[in-house]
Amino acid sequence: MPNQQDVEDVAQEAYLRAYVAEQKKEIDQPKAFLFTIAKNIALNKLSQKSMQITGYLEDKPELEGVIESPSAYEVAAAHEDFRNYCSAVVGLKGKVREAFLLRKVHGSSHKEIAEKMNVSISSVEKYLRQATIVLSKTLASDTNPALNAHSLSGGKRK
Amino acid sequence: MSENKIVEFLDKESLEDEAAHWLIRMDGDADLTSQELLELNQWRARSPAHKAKLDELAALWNKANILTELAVPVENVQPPRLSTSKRFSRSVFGSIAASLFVAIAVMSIPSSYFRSMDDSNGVYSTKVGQRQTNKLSDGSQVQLNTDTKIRVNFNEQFRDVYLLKGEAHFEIAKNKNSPFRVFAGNGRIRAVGTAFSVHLKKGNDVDIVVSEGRVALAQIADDTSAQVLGGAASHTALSLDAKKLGQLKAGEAVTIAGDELDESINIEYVDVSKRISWTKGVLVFSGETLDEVVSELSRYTNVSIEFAEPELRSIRIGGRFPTGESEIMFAAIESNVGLQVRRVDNNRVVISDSANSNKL
Repeated sequence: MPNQQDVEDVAQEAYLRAYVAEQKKEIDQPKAFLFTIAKNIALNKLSQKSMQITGYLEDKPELEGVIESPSAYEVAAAHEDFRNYCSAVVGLKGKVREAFLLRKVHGSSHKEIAEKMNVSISSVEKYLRQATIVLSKTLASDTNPALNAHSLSGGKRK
Repeated sequence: MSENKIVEFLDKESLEDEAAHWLIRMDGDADLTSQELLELNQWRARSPAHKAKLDELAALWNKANILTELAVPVENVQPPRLSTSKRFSRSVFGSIAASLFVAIAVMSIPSSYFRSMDDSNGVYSTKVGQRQTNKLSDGSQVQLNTDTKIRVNFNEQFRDVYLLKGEAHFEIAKNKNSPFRVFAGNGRIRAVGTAFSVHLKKGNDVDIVVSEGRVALAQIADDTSAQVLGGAASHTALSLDAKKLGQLKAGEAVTIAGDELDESINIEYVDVSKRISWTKGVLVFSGETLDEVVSELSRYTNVSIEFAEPELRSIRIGGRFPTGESEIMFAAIESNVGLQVRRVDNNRVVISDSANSNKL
């Protein structure tokens, strides 16, 4: 059942989109399909990195939790997760948010983020660590089933 | 196990910090050195809590890749395109069989607020594939979906909007002294709410979705509404002829049939964010047939979409489709569904099974 929370989530999503668009505006205003291509490139890069992270953490890499060129069904199922993440990201402040969105929306590397924000790579990594901790608190306090459903070790955790 | 919990509790902050450190290190541009990998595994072996925390953060981090979705911006809000009501001919009135009526009455706002309300009056319209947000002079906002036309008629007593075709989403500025009313299709609605969507469909069926607040429905006879749309009937006469149908609240939707005057209505409980996702330039489907999806997408393009194989119509699909430019929509069909969209000519595309095996 939709409720007030959903309405707020929609507002947050719209807000974030505007925010991201604002970040990109100075660069160019490409046609809409170029945005989609950019999204796919970012997603491919991030998926590779995510598989690598999963690989470090498991003897045998499991791909759960990694979004890898998602099917239409998966995209639909991920819709609610997407909303939850949008809500959580709104809770990030200033440079922490900027760095996190550059990483997770545009797939920029740590070095690229450092150049864009004109800070050191170690600062970028500090922002990303802070983002992780804040998001983990926000998303966990929502009793968010999304995270549990995609544990790295296929249910072994907890 | 309980010992681990104590350890975790005592060192919760540093445990989390350390886990975040490892995560972001793994996320870094360079691969881990063999020395680092060794240290990572030593750290993870320190306790189940260590391992669990890092797994948890990594899952959260990986799942955040979903935010790439944000890289595709919602199309920019266009400035209002206001044309004069002269274009609004009598024949347009005649084509509307009856009217739907929405009255909003909640809080009072100083009357000076509405002094220049008439500024909004006139006809607003969108072409096929267009979407447009209009801020009205009372502070209300009306968003027009594809191929939509409304007429705004604010006066001292009422804030009236006539939905002549298409679909519009209303976010109403509250003012109990001047009810906000929307007329469309077959029926009448009286509402005490602030955000809702009205869709005048083929055959004069009207869909109403309430995203915020409350709406009370009623119907009026055809002839009365036709007069109202022509501007002849008085508003008091209108309210006398109304038959109350019931209330809708946020999260509920109803369809009022165009060809009959119902005594009652069937309230559906719907996913409002999905139903009004068009206001953000996307259509969200979850398990509808491709036939239904294509018929919905067809509202946003003049290009007719056909099926090469009839059985494709019954495939059930889900996904987010951007509205607007046809080419992007067709590309979304190809990538979301795994089918081929072949352009026959400027006005026609054909959806067919891909040459390689069908994934669904």
